[in-house]
Amino acid sequence: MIQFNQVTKRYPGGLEALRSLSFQIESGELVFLAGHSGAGKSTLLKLIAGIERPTSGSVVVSGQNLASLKRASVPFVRRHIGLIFQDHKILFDRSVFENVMLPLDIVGFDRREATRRVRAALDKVGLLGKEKLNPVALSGGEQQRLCIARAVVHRPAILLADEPTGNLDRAYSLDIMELFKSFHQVGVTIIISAHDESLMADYGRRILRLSKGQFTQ
Amino acid sequence: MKSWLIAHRTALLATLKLLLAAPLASFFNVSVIGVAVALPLTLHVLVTNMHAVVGRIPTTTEATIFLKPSATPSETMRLEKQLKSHPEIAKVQVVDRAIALKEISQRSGIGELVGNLGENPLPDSILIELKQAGALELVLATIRKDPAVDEVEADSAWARRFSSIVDLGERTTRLLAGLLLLTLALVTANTVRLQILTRRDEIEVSKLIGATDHFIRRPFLYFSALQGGMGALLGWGIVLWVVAELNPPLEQFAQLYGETYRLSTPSLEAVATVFAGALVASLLGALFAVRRHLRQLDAA
Repeated sequence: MIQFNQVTKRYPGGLEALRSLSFQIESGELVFLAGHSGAGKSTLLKLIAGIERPTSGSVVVSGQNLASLKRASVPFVRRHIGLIFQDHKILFDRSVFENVMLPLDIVGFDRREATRRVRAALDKVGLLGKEKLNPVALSGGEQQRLCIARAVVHRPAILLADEPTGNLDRAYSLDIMELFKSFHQVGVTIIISAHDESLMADYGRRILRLSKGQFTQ
Repeated sequence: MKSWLIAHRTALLATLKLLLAAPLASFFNVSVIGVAVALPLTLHVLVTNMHAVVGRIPTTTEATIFLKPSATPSETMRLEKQLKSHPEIAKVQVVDRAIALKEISQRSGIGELVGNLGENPLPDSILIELKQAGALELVLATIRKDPAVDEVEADSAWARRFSSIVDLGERTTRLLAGLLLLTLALVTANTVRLQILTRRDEIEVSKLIGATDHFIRRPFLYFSALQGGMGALLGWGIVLWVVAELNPPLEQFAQLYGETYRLSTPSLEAVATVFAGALVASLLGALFAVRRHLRQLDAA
């Protein structure tokens, strides 16, 4: 599903975020990505989503090498990926419902079917009763769940979560982890990054540990 | 096909949002475009109407030869004979100075004044009509050299001058239209730039979740086309109003000369050109801004 071959990412200015990384993630796997801030976790996720391009090596997602992908094709790769951000990236000029509607609008979904799907996604994360609210009125944990609803509404094959529990207390974090587990159970490939390993240990999944752009064991 | 329709409906909704997000700014923009469109269109209306006036003046083959007041009747007769034998001249008519005076006093109602004149101030004159207009200047040049001739007046001279002024007006209109279209494109580009800046977050998030450049560009293009179209509509309205305002005094003025005259409104062709120009300029401005600023967002 996801394959990195000797991937190096160097940012302008000489910072090497990743150093000849190679690994593979199978379809339907749930993988944790651990490491301190600056270890290269975000960069790795950005490479999978085609937000960044590798300086060298190849990143193959669903059989497509993103390193040689044309700029115009990138959006179509992203439509198979759900992105969850630590800072949520929620739009505050529209309701909760419309935030979740955005990915379906982009794909050009039929309105009635889209409405049904948005409701289902909001129901899944427990926000159905708040669909008409402006996201400003939501708590931090609720905003994160809104971000998750938006990431899964178009039923992506891959879910990438960058520090999804970074700003949340433990109870909320466990809540969010349970959500991811339920997506994993229906066959979605999931990569979750976190700097706090205590949450990962409970799940007995593969953990990729990054330090200074390289894997450590 | 269906998803294409849905995509465009989504874009239209986004466009309306753009318009309603800043109704006052949208109104101002439309007004600016309206005025920018109205200026060259008004000029165009005036120029085409002047063209029509020029068209009404027959391309003359006639000229009036005024003889010197000192010319004797025998000189008049000599010139008449000479002109009658000229191969290019079809018709020669001598107007005796006494008859001319009588006609003027009858026609203009200044009989009394004429009666008070000690002597007739008018010279003899000869009306000639040529077989064809082309030879007029040449024929007149030789007549001017005759010692008995004081002045030769061809109606076509001032018509030609008028016509060249109209041509100048036409060229000015085109130049002005070009400049104002450029203004229109710049105004649109600036508006779109501001919109992109205020909707930065939305654009960024949309791109992250798989929006194509087309998807992001579309509402801005729709918006610009709509704004340009509404501006052109307003400009057209302004011109119709200007014509309606000018017509009554113009009709009065024409009546003083015993003529009926009204300005005609811009032709369908002119209006269509204005709409097309406004749309194209708006779209080009928007495209320029979108291209530039989306690339900038990409790099950020």
